Amino acid sequence: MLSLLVDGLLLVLHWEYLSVILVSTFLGLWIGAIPGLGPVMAMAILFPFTFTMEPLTGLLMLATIHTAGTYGGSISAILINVPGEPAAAATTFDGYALARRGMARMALGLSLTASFFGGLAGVAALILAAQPLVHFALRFGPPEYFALAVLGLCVVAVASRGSTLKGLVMGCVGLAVGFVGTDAVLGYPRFTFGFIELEAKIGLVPVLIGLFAVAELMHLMLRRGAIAEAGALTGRLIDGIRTTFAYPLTILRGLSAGIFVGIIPGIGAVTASLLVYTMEKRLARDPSRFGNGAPEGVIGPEVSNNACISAALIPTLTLGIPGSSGAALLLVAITVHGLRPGPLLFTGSPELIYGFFAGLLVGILAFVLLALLIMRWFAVITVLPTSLLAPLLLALSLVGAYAYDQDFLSVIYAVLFGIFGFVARQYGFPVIGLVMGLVLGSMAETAFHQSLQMSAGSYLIFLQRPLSTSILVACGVLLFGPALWFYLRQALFRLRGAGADKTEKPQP
Amino acid sequence: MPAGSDQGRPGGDQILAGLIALLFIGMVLVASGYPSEPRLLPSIIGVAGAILAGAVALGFGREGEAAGTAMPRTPRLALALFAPPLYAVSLWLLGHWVANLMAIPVIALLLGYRRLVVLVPVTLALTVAIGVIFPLLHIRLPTGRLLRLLF
Repeated sequence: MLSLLVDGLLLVLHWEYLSVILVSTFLGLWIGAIPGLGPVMAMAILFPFTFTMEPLTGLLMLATIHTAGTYGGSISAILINVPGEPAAAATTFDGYALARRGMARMALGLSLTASFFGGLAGVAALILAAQPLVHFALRFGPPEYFALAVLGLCVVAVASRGSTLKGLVMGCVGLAVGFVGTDAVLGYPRFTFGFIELEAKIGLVPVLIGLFAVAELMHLMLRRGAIAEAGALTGRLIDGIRTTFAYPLTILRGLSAGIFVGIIPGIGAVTASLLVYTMEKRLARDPSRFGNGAPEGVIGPEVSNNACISAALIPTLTLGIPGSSGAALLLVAITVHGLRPGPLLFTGSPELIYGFFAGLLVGILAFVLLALLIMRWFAVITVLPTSLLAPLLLALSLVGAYAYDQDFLSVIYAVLFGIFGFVARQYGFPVIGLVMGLVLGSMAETAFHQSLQMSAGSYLIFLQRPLSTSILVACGVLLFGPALWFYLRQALFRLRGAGADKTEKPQP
Repeated sequence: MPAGSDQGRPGGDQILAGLIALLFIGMVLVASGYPSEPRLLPSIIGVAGAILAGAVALGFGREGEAAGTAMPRTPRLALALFAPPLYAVSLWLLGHWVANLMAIPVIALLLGYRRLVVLVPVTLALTVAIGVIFPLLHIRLPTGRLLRLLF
């Protein structure tokens, strides 16, 4: 395997492949940073051009745009609180908080290093452990998907800043938003009120643009000064790079979660990054740092989302089941070039597949180098006056929302969710709950109905499978564990207190 | 300043929670007209959401930071609330070029920005950049319904 990888590396270091990797990385970074576009859109647009290319060139172009675009989404997430790519939504919470403290460059450094580790680990998992990982992934069926969705919602609610109750309310709002439209399994239109435009589900991208971009620029309009509240930039890119190494456990947890989510088709990097964020917050000694610029709040999500998109190639290449939208496009590109995913892909075309793996590794290095060269200048946005920045962001955000599907309805959604997000944030309702509800809601419902079809209507199916039962038990522990533990400790304390009174006999 | 009230008036978060609770109740009522399978999860979530939002509306879960802060009553609040929908309407009616060339400087001036020597070129640069990059990515920009009717 090592000799094949070295041969692949020597192959992609030829100028024709290297130039494709560099150009695609540059395109991916820019497109990923623009809200409403995203790497998958760029891949879809450039996909027809790959028909006339050599297979390895075409695959490298698409994969490199995908990887670089995923990192690019964190740039706008950190600088202007707008996730350029949905997977960067979790990065806004602490990345933008760092930008407000004038430490945008440090935040970009954290994100860059974390993305590097995540991408590297995802590709390493793809190269070294594709077969055993995919066997584990095959054990996940609809009941396990449903249980995972419930776990995700519980984690977010419990880790919500301020109030678990408000977090749960927002989770329910997110789920309710996900019910609008025609259900994927049942094919029944719900809450459309006769409007054909509502029969398609409400897209995640316009909702994210509204909740993060529009809501934030409304807050910017309320206050004077700049995003960087001190009006000046402090910190350097290298500070962020060094700081990342101080959180090895965060990196490991992000890698594990990202790879785990990536190998299971249909969950996605958005879920991975949000879950890791809430997990890091839950495990932190001082959770109040989160939302105020905690480095783990940037490192965790960025490691996981980059690991996830590389790991999503595992079921794609080994089983022909795409792990994500970007992986789906790559799968089509593979089949268009006459290759078949599966075990034969690894043995039948080793020079192609190992050249592809080597190209992915080179692509990761390419986005790190390009980012190091140009990212520090982007941070200047955070010291521009809000009176100038807010209208520019408004234009970019709403045009980006329109660009998502070139339908004005997306702009309306962005405005409505922007106003709701602005009011909700003002009154202490955490928007992360809404995002998770929307992301996980459709997965939960689809898996729920599929599970009932499998069990002929019996709800016991969720408790009859060991994996789904374990996950649901974990949900129960997460929700009720802290309260039960509190009452248990109180009861033990009272018992000890009563016991101490009995041993102390009163003096005659 | 916390959104909660010491004089017994409901806080802003309680009012918002109350409105959300009403929405969930409406959701359950609408879902009751659907067949059993499509109705199931919306009904469960609707009831759960109404109970949780109702609890917040009655004052639970509002300790400390969770109560949020009161909405500042300044003219900027009106601008913040109305600028996005008005810009969206202008985008729909007038299209990308006219809407952006108008809206960006108007909003900036209303927010107090006065350096026209920066504002004008920045407005032009962003409008042109969007107008050039998006079509290159095969993304059609809005052309404006009103302009299409007039010309």
